[in-house]
Amino acid sequence: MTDSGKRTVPRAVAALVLTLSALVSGGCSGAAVRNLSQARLKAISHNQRGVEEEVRGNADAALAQFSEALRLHSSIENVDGKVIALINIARTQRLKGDVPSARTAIERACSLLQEPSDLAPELFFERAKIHLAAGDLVAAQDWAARAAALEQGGNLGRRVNLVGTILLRQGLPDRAREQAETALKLNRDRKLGAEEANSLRLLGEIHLAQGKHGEAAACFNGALSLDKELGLGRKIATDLRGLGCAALQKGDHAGATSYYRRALEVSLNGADLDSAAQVMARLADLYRQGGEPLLALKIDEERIRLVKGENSHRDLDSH
Amino acid sequence: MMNEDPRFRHLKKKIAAFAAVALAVVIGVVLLIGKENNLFAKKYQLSFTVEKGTGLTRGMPVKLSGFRIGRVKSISLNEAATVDVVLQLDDKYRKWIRKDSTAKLVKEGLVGDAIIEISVGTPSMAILQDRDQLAYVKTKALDELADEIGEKVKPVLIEVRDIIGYVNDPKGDIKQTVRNFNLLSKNLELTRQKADSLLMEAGNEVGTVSGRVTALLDDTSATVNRANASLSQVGEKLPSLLAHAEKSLGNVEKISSGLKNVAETELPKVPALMKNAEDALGGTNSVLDATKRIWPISARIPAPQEKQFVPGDSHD
Repeated sequence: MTDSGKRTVPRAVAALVLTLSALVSGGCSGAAVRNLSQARLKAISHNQRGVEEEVRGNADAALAQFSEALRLHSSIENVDGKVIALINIARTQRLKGDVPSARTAIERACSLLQEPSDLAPELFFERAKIHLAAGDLVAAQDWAARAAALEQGGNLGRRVNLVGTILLRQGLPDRAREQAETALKLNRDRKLGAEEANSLRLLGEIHLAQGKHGEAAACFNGALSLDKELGLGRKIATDLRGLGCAALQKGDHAGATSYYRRALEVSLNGADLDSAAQVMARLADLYRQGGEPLLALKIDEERIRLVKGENSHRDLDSH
Repeated sequence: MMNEDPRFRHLKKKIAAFAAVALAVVIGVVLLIGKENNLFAKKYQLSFTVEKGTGLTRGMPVKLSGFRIGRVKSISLNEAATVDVVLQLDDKYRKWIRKDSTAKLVKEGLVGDAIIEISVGTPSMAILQDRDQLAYVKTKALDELADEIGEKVKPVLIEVRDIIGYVNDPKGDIKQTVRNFNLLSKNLELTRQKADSLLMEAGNEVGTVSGRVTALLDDTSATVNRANASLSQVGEKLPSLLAHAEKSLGNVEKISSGLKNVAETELPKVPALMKNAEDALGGTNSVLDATKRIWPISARIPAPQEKQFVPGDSHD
């Protein structure tokens, strides 16, 4: 054998080894496929479709999907799956405004929970929200605190935000502020824009409650810019309403009117008619206080039409 | 060579015989055809004069009782600007054509050929001789006939229109009758109410009221008579209305029957189609599942996310 022949054999072996190792590493780099039963896969699929429907605003379709997911999980005794489906049912019902049904679903989920479970923080968080929606602040505070205490993942900022919100509702702005500032830091660290905006909005509300309109306006502006980046229409309208309140507290009547009108436009175009009606009532008050009774009357008429379900978009810019 | 070949012997005689036979055959055929077409029959001529030659042509058949007896020999314009028509007829039919026979231009059927038809004469009358004049009877053209029919139908149509107008007239008797009938129904109810109230009062004022009741009953009687008259009028119209309604129902029944047939033939196929579609989808799913399990595809497919929640914001 020649020298060149001797060199060729190790090179071929090296190439073969490299190819095999590349193939093996490529194969191992993918996630391990879990062998789930067909029923469970179908239930997961229904749950996923339900989440998509809810995001699209089709609450009834979402509930149908979650119910099917719950049925399928029940048929194979998958407790975690049942709890997930029930949390989703409860949340959808709450967002739909049916708090009693939401409460029934969440209590059933709590009864199924096998502690310790990583589903507990989300379950308790939702339970706190339902109590908050029902006006039961003590229970809401209890479950929100439990959710925050059990949180192991990256949602601590969200949990703490809720604790702060409930404290503010309870008339404890100082304690609420502590929680809101903690949540703000956590959410900023985690780069959770939506929750960071929530923290800022909460801080703005706390400042308003304490009469600090300057700080409140700064917080609302911060929240507004974040919400605009994320394109969250309802929250933009809330931020603008907060800015309106801050301006009013400052005594800037015209500024407040301007913010409220912006909030009204956002709510109307985002089809958030309840908020729009509230803003219109507020605007009518402002016009009345500003010595413009005719404008106040006109906007009140528009609000009545809106509440009755008629189209009130027209001529709003003329006010 | 010709002298040597026996086939050419008496050639001239053979050719002459062949030509004679051929000529005889041709003459025979001509005679036969001539006889068939009455070419050799004895003929005679009759003529008549018409105002216009429209529809007349040379060679046009002349018929008697539906049989062809001759043809139009010539058509010519005379000094009086009328048209002389000469007919050439078979002599054997002469006995049928007499002084009172007439010729007329007719069509064989609605769209058939035009012919000259000669009517059979009365046996007591003299037979027409060669070159005699035949009387011509003018027949009406289609447009003339249409005009004539139109003239006859016109008054009928006008009358029908008047009748419809009379029926539809809101102030007419029929409409008035229907209105009266409606009014009458209402009046009857009022009358009944009045009668009830009168009867209630009757206990106290029997004497005076009885007269009014009688009058009222007379009114009612007259009203009922009018109602009867109206009802009889309505009754006359009802059969035609019912016939229309029955016809419409018949059509609806036919449509329903058609739909039923379609449903009976097509609907049973639907479950089978659904089953096939389901099987096909099931098969596709199986293929997809199998594909997903193949490495390296399986490595790239994310594991199903069981813990998916509806977005739950702290500020929703």
